[in-house]
Amino acid sequence: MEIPQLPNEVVKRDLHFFLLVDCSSSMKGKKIASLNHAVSETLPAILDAVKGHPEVSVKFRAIKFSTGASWHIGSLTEAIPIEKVIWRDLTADGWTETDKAISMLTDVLDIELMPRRGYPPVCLLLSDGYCTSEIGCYENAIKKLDSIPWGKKAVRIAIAIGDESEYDEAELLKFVNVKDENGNPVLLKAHNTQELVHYIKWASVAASIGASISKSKSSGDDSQHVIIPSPSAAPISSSTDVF
Amino acid sequence: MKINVFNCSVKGASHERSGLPCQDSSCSFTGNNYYIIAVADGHGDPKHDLSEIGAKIAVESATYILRQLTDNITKQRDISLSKMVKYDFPRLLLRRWRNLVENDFRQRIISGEKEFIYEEGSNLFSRYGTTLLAAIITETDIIYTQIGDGDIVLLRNDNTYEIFSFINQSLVGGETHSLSSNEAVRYFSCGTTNMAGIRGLFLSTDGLRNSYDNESAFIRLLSAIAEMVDKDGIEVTKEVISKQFAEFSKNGSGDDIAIAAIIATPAQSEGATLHKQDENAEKHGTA
Repeated sequence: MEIPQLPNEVVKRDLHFFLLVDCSSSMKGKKIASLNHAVSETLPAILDAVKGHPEVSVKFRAIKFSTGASWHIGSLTEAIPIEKVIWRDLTADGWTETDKAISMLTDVLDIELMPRRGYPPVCLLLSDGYCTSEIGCYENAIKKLDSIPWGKKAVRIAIAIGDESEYDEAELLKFVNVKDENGNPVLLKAHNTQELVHYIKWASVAASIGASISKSKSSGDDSQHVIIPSPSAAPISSSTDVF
Repeated sequence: MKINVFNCSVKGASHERSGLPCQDSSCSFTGNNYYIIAVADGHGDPKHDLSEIGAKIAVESATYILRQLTDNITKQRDISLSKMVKYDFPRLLLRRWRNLVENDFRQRIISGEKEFIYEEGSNLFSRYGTTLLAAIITETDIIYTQIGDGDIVLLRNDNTYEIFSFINQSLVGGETHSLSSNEAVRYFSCGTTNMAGIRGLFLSTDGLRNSYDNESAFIRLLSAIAEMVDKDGIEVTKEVISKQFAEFSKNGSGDDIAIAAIIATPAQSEGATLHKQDENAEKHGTA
């Protein structure tokens, strides 16, 4: 006797990955070149990392920001399956209007656009400078992001690029909402090409794995819901590589 | 019309990989002229390390309390069952669940299985944290109640359906209301509908719904289950569900899945024939 079958229309759960990339003029040269190289190497690494979790489908989007912000990969309504993403190299010019990129992220994380059934989205901010918009714009953008359900639940990590005197660590820390297993906020500091490549890859993979294995828990429990390991050390580089 | 009742719990793909137990639980009970079904989804976060026990206790407690309320209603006919479920069930259920959780934990301390570590402000019940969905089906009414996520779906014979689930839009990313919350009694929802034209009532944990990206496909699955019960009987359907839901989890949510349902079939159907022997007997199943 033939065994009856139920219709199989199940689909994988989406893990949305957002890259917010600073393309201001201070990123010109080695920084933006290293970033382009790092991202194109990172995409297959994320894909490889989630192979052990066949129920996860990673969807990728990238927002570039300088004077204003715009979609570089994907759009407000379209996320690209990571295996289909072709990274087009970014160029750098203009101001650092980080708040505009965060506002775009807030729009896309709206509960109407982001499926309830998905994993916590992963958001990686890469920047080498201060937000140059008017005073208060950055804080307002963060406040709005913090006020929406997926904004709160997203795994938000930042990588500061270059010399510590050139970026505002406190500002970037406002974006970060996860701590590693040692209790340190996941703000990574890339002083040179090797560190930038290493940290982009590490953060993307660690956050994606962390988000994809996140589990259900009781409401009202404000403790972190995603486990992020401590970052591994970047390869040792020579002093000439410093940005 | 014949009412068929079943329940089934399947370990999710991610728990298979990590060696964790199935943290979902389900239960069905056939009483004298009424039926009870329940499912519970034990929270997966490591801090809820005894949630699979919490889920089992939840479905068993729900069945026990709903039976008690039904027995009371036959003695006091001036009180409606739906009002008792709405106003009394949360309080009674929580009292029983907490008592049984404390007993379970005490047994673990005695047997040395789990070391009790007291931390200021720690919540023992949180370790057993779980959702709960339960329904009692009488000859005329369906009364359902829910705390936390999961789905309650009613299919009718005219191919229409209703989704009764109470979704809190502000809770995403696996966050859910729980029996272990301090103010759990406030988070219960309850509703009533009638039995007219019913084809099936399904309670399921979010591992099933999260395997689908649209409502239509989810409803098609539930309709197919009802059809299978009608055509092939309850035992065959349960066997198919056990096998196929494991596959669904692997290619869908990755999560554990629990389902409990009542399916109305025509008296002459295969499902009815297979179940005739149970017609007057009380039957209790937990998975």
